[in-house]
Amino acid sequence: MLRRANVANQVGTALIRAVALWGLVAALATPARAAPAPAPLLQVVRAQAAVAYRGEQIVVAWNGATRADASLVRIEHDPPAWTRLDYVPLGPSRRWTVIRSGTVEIRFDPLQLTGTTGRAGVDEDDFEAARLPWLLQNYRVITAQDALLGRKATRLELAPVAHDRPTHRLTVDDETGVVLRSERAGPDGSLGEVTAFLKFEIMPVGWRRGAVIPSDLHLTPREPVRAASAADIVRVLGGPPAGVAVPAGFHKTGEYLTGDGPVVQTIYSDGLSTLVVYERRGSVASPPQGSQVVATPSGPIWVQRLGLRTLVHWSHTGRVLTMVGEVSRPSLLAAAERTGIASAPRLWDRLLAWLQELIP
Amino acid sequence: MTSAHVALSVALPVDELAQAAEGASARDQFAELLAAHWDRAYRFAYHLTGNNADSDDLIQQAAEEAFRAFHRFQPGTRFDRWFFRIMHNSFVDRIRRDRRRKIFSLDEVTGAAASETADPSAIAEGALDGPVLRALRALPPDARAVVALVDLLGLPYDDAAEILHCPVGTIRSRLHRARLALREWLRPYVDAMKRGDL
Amino acid sequence: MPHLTDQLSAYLDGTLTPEDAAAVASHLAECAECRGTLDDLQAVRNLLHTVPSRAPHPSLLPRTLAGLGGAAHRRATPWWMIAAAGTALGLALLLQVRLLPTPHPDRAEGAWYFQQHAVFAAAHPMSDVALASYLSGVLPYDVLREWSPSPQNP
Repeated sequence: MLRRANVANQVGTALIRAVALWGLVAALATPARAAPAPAPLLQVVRAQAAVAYRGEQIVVAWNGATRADASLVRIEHDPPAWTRLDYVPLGPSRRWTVIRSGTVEIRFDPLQLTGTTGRAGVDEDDFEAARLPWLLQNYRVITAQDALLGRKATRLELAPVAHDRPTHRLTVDDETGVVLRSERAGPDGSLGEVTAFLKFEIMPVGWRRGAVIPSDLHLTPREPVRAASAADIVRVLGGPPAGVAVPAGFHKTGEYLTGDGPVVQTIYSDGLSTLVVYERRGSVASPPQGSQVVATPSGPIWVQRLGLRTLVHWSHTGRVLTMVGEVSRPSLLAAAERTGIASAPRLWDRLLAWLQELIP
Repeated sequence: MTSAHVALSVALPVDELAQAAEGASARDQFAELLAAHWDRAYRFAYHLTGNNADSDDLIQQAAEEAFRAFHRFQPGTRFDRWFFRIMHNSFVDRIRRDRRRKIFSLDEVTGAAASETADPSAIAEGALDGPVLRALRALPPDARAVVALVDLLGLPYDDAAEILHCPVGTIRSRLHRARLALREWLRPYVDAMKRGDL
Repeated sequence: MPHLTDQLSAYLDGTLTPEDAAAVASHLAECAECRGTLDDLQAVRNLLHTVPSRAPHPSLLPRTLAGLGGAAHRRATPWWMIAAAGTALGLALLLQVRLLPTPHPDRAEGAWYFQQHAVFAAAHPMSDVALASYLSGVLPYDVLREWSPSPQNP
């Protein structure tokens, strides 16, 4: 008991020291980051709300070195927030259509006319005011001239200052700011995702006003995702959220609940990359199916990877935590260790870890 | 790699672990039979439930029940009749048990008018499965089951009677009434079919 | 002469005895209305035959088989490993350490965490719309169940 308290103290002190140090560094660094955002970057940020277009894209997502999922997509967009995407996956998957209109998003099978409906993501603060500064602090922006599909374009490379997250390379249409091609590569250089327009055409704004949606759709609602109030969090977790040591450069942007819990999702952003911490009450880890255990000196952490994203899962002070981000595995493991892993001898977890190592 | 983890996360007492190793051959037999009838079983599940997600659930659940009851299946008898009956029972239980989930039609949400006339391009392209499937989904479950077995899967009346656990005479009358209902809902397509336009 | 009812369907399906079939045939020769109904039934049946076969997702059968009997994905496990597992469990029971509870079904899959992450990441104004929707919903996340980690994909 006493030993556990001492460890917690040590971790707490180390954490406070780390935060203080980073705070100092950030304060020193800030004056140098007063430079404004490059014009192509601003264009990209504003394009979706300003430009109407249609076209065909190809989307490829790598899932490890030997597997990729790809799809052709027919896309129609009308500002400020109407988009229709018809996916024709390459491979055995079924066709899908997604229609987003404002805050509603429906997804359905166009042949069977069954699907789901729900919110299109979450409310965002004003990106340019709140998040763009973080992006400029955490990424170096390099531009170069280019051309694609017969249009003049700018290559924008966003390279992370911390060497543990993906690099984005965007080919931005000079006229409109629409991203004609994008590539995301992991910190180890491996390709994560590529998307590219095969056909692209600007359309007049308002061209999809009065668009017809298929009648006779049978849609079931998805579980709602909503902002969690402080009262919600206390109800679901039985107390305030555990302090999690996230990787450098990430700032908290919100807390959400899916359905009625029992998992609280805290979202962090570094201006470009998103990190999600899932937290629920519990003292036994029950790791996600598909994850693999890593035995660290302070306890087991479970890890799983999907393309550019990595998941780490562990338990700490009566909470079970899962962190998912486009951050490298060592960084996420370090973040989990800095947060602290339940330090009482978890015999069951240790047995599990030992057995998992034995059994192939 | 997931194997050990999944095995340990279910609280199995020690002797069940030993039993599990020996049960492998029964599982192999079951797997072989299931695989042989899988595609048709799925089609039955699909036409009963009307969509892929529910049919996936239904067939998986039925497979689990069938596996647990496999010791009661007599080798050499018709596995499909036996398994389809389990699926249908499971389906019936499910409708009785579930509260009706609220299903939104986008027409309610957007106020768009629903079209009730036949889609001429569907006739022209021969792409009829949309309207036909919708009409099928509108049938009550009993009627839908009979149509699925006899007209969609091509099973004889006595297979259907065995699977749905009712007399052959009932199969016959239910099927007839279902076809008459479909005739009404699919009137434009029926006429086109009779004219030879399809 | 009363009109035919379900005998018409049976006649169409060829399930009548020869005598009954003959009786129906002779009625049809004289009754235009029943002939019309028979044509309608034939057309309905033909319409139903145009419905293409629904194929299950290729991963459904392996997943279903894997889920049978509660001990998923097991190949023949050597006896000593079963014994080791048994010992661990016995030990755990002895020490009264709590066994793992069954996780909530949705949250148990790594896929759910990745999918939710993609939903939140999609809110970024610079995220590619087609990719974002793909990762947050369209991508068949059940592939995770088949995909096994290897040294290159830890």
